[in-house]
Amino acid sequence: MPILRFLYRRLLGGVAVLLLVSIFSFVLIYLAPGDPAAVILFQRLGRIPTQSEISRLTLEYGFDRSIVSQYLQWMLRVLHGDFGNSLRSGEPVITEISTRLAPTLLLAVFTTIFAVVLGVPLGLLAAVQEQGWGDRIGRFWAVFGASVPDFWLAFVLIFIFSVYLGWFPTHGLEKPQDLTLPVISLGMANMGRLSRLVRSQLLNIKHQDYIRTARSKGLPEWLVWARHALPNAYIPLVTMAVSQFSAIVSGAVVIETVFALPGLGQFYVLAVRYNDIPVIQATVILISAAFILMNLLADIIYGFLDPRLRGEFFYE
Amino acid sequence: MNKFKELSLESLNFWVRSYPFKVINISLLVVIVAASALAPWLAPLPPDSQDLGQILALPSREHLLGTDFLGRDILSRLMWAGRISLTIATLVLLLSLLLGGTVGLFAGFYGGWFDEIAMRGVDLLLSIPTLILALALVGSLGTGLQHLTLALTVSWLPHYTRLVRSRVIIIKKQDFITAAVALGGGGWYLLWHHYLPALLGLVVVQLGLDMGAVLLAIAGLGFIGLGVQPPMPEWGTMLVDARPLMQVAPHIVIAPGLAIFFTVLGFHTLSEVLENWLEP
Repeated sequence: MPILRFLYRRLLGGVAVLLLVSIFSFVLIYLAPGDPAAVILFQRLGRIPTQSEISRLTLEYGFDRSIVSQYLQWMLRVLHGDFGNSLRSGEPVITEISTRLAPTLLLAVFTTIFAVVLGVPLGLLAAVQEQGWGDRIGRFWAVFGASVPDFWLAFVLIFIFSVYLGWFPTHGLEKPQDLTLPVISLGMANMGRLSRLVRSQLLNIKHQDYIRTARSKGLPEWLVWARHALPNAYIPLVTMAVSQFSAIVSGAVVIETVFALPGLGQFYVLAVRYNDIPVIQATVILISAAFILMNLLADIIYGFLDPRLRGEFFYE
Repeated sequence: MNKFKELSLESLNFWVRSYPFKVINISLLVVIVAASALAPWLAPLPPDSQDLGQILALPSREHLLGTDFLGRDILSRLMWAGRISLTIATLVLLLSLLLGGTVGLFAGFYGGWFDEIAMRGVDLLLSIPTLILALALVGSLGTGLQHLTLALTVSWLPHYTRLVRSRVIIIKKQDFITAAVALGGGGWYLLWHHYLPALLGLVVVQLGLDMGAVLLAIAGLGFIGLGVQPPMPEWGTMLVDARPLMQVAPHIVIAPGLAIFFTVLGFHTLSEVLENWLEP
């Protein structure tokens, strides 16, 4: 099974990158100015720690040992799901993060759905009527979405739909529909990019022979596009949807702050503000693990979407 | 694209008529960049001078874009803020290009173990979303202009390593390189006379696009309070300050938003025009 061998190799590659990410996260505590024990105590106590407190914590955390042995010990705990305690609240980082995972996941999933459901038809419309109205709207949208700051768009949406019309709350998350405005402000840029991608993919094959054949055998126009043209855009679409995950997570950090959504993004911002290094380390590792997994998933999806890629040659 | 090269009144007329939006966007960008760069000389007031008699004033002859909640002149603050943001963004991209681009150049050029190590580093940095990576560095280094610049540079440079490396690998296989090698061209000769000119267009186009993206990131970081710190003016922080007053004085929300929007739009348009010109 070439595909299994291929996936195995990709999995190994993913684990290797994750290992590098863990080293990077571990080093973060040493990037902070000053003695790491003093930094931790300062956050925990809210005052400058005494020398005896510092030396007690240095022993407890093993800051006096070699950096390699410290890393190995830390990594061993991380592999057991123990990222230590938050310096701010004193609670285990992993429980703190798991309670905040749902809003961010929902936000990311809905934003992706929003971008695909609106972006793909818009791109299709733009390709069918090249230089027509759909194309112009699509181009405008792509440029607008890429240039407007998402948090400013959020302000404008809040002003219109929450303050003026009163349809949605200005902040907070009680019902799923409260995510409407965050999803729109976050998804606008992605939608524009997706629609342009679909358009350029379809324009490439618009004049291919098999499209003409499909038309000349009397297939209705919409079926020509839906069955023969659109599937060509599936693979780049999946690639882009996965790479957009990165943009969505970055955007979520800001958008969750705007709408006061109790998600991972807002939690991360607080952690960064208070130099809560264990939380930062855990977030970085978990998010990049999710990203690496999604890339792996995309590799599997490619095989389903394009039978040519299931063959022996591609994976060798 | 010959029309682009002859800069005469006639060609200007052609451009304005054929691409009115591009001309408008780029003109606005020129105005914003000039106003920001020359803020110390052009700005009507210093960024933190307060006019306590006129708090949240509407635009008037005295304060062309009105004043904020501390009675500071919004136009002046926008100009000073632009100066800071544009300087940081330029620094970030120059450093990214110098560090990331050079590594990519040598990785693609020589291949081997250096390439292998460089690419693992790129994999590492690209597996963490941009803003998450920048914030992780800000979180451990602390806020401040140097730390902000450093954090954004680390987040942006892997893109340049990858971009330059992939193009170098394509160039390496082309006939003109084989010919130059056959004629006895050495490493530095090839680099200077063949690789760098072939990379120029690609890099310039990318710089234009990224200028917009970095400016958005700076504004986003400012907005969540982890970028440029008050009292220094910054477009993102101006928006946060304005938020609670959105209903009372919408103009203080609109001005910084439009400033970011038109600057980013201008850089995107510039990049598009350069792409058509340099990379047909």
